[in-house]
Amino acid sequence: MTTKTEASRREFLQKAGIAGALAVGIYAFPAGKQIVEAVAPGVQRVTRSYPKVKIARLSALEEGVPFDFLYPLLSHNNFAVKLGKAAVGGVGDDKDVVAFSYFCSHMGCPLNEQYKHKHSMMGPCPCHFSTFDLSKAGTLILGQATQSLPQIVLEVDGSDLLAVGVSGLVYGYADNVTGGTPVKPLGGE
Amino acid sequence: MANTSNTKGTLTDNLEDLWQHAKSAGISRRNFLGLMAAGGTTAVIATCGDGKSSDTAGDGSNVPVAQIAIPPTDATILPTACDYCSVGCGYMIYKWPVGHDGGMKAAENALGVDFPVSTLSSKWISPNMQNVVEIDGVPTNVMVIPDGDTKVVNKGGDHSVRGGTLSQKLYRKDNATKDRLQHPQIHVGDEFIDIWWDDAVEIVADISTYVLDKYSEMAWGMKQYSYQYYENTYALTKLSRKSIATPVWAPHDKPGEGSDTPGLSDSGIDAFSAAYQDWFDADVIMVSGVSLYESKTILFNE
Repeated sequence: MTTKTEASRREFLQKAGIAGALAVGIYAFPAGKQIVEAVAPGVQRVTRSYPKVKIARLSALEEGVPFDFLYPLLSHNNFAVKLGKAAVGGVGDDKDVVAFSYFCSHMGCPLNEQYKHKHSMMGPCPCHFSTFDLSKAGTLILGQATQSLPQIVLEVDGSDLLAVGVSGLVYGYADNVTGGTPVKPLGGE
Repeated sequence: MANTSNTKGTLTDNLEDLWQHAKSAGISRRNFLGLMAAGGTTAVIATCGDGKSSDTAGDGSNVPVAQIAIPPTDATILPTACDYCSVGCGYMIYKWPVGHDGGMKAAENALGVDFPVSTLSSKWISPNMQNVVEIDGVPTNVMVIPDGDTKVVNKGGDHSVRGGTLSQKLYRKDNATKDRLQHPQIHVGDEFIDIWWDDAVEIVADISTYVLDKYSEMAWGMKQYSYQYYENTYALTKLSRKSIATPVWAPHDKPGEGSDTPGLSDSGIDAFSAAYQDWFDADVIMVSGVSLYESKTILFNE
């Protein structure tokens, strides 16, 4: 729904006045960077960025075998997988390492054990049968979810695989980093 | 404020300092937050290049945290039904002005739930269930989420991708919905020209009178949509079939008024059952040339 923009609008300040939103952002998340997003013409929202967390050594990933990890909260179950073909958002030498939330973006049912390597597909979800294409940013193939499967944004640092963000909102949450215990960030205190 | 937005360690401290100053200057907490919002937004935008902060403090990435707006306890709540197919799943609309969001605690929001919500909750708000539109010039959050209290269809907050994205089709000036017709149009020469509703109704009435007088009702036809059924189609159906009394009337995807599957009804089998209970009780459902999961998702799941 949101798109990033650099444009400010005076009418935003006059009309919208997102006092609450900004104040919440600052008080709840003193760490990280501030980012401004536009949600509609003249309406913007201030949010923060994610921590960087090491999740695995790249060499530990086996093609077609999901590797489980928690990020950015200890209550967020995710998996990383080497698809064996280049993917949107893929990292590594073959640009085929991707990571996603295990929570179906329809109604939150766990997608563990549902990965179909032949089609780079997650699903069908055991609850309502949604399926997601992991090579295309988790987009819905067929089913009921109203957004793609949230993709964990990855970076490679030397031989390490880092999680640096989440694209999409994780099921159940109003905010991906609020309502649980954060995982320990890279080099964190 | 411009300085305070750049260092993570001192941000809260600086805010606290500012608040103490503000308090001693007689500014209320509410006004203070308002001032901070205005100042802070300007400051952030001033340091923005491509929308990302140029802030170098902290070890965060450049990925923004996804969020949704939560309806406050005084949000306007309206019931509705999905208008995409004949199943008619129940949904709830929540409306509230931008900037007056509720909180993540049950007592602070109109949903009465603590966030995060549990699996299979009917109260989670997917980003695509929300939109921001202008209502009387005021930027307003509009959220359409499944009605978790329905007793017959989409029970427990189940929803299709169609019903789940109902709010996305609301009119906005800045996305694909801007193509939507704002006025009735009349075909003049090679052009469609916007006209007022009063004029449109008058023109249709005059031409109808002429056609009926000269050629009879056989020459007057109506092709109309039929979903959402009786409530929304009542006026057009009554006009065509009672007032004009024409046989030239066709709903939905049909060239004329007739069975979905010619001959099937005559043999005693209803092609399109009027009751969900019939679907649930059926021993055999035969479908041909269609995926029931794709086209009547909720009915298939239930």
